[in-house]
Amino acid sequence: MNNNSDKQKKRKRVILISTISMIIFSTVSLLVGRNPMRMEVMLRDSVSLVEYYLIKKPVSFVGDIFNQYYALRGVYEENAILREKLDNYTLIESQNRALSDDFDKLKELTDIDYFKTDYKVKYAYVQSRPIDGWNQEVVINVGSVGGVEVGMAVMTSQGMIGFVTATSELSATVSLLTHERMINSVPVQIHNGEEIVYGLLDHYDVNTGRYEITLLDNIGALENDALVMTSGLGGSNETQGLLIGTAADVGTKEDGITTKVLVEPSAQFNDLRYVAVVLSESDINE
Amino acid sequence: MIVAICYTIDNSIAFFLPFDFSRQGIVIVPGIGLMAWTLINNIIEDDRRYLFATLVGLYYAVIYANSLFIYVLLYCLYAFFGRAYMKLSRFTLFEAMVVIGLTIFVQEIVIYWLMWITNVTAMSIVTFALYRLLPTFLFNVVLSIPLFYLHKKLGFEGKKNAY
Repeated sequence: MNNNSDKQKKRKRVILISTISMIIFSTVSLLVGRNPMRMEVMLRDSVSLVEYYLIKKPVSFVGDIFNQYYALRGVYEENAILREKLDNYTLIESQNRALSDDFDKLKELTDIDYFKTDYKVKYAYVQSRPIDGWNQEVVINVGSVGGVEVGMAVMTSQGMIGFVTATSELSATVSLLTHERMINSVPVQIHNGEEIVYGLLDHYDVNTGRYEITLLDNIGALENDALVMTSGLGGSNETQGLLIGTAADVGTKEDGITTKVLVEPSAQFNDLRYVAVVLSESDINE
Repeated sequence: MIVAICYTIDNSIAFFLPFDFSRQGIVIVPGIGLMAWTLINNIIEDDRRYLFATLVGLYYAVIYANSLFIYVLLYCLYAFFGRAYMKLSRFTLFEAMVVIGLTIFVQEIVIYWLMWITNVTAMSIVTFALYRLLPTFLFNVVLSIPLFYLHKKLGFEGKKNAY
């Protein structure tokens, strides 16, 4: 009888100690704000992969069948539009080839291996996102095994959407440009008519839905729809020319000295399913 | 196990629900896992209640919330209130909806407050209330109806009515 009661007491003590230790660990982690451990990332990746292949992918497959059926209805109209565009395509392709040849000759002449505008992409799909929606991050299905590294830019067909902030073997975490407190600023250039103005994208204003760029140069009058692209100067992203958005307004920051430009994002953030990781030529050469 | 399955359902719903990362539209956070925990909290023995709360909170934080450990403390808080005010009560549908709604409400407010003080967001309280809190609250309260009947059918209720 006594033995049983002792065992029960012991078990209760073990439960109590493990509970208290886990609570202390959680509180300290919350206060310190540490990065997830390798074990946590591995667990998250495993659950996320199982969920993706067991639930999300089959459901997406069924959904896609219906979407494709509805898309077939619009094929005739689309075909007519595309046929018109096809006439211009041959012209653009020949121009592109001529320009590429010129580029190659210039590279040979100047002994430059690659330009900052040269890049290749690796396609990936979004595997998961945090349920609570506060972290502006998504997890994609390509990791370090697929050649993805921290700092690489990520884009959709409409423009840049973020950059890789963490990688594991089979997945990578992409921090989106809609993050209100970015870890790294993105160096950008604004094509304001004839002039090119440089700045840093360091902030997304959730209340206006626009990026905020701190200018490093002075700017005169801002032209309508001036294009904003990555400059490839500094930071971990070396690729130049990735579209970020169009400049919408110019103003002064809270300090009263620095000029800021508000930028309308080019990419849509409401349906992120497929993305492309940008591999610059320097990454490929390494 | 039940809560883990519910989290998987939550994650799948979240994956297929339209979600605008630019936060210029409605944001809905499914909370079936939290609802299930709120309902089964009553049937867990006293000495194991906080251990389960901690484990469930840890699981959610690590797998689904980017290791944000406030969830562990929140789940312990729910366990504490479950112990202090609900005992082994059997809910009616209305009571279950009120308890679940209140839990979702508290969680959303606490997380918003945490994000606000740590400068993760500068979202105004009106935008938060209109575009996130209210839709999430309504969505989950509606979802709580089938969950309540499922919970009843599977026999996860407490054995006596404390009231």
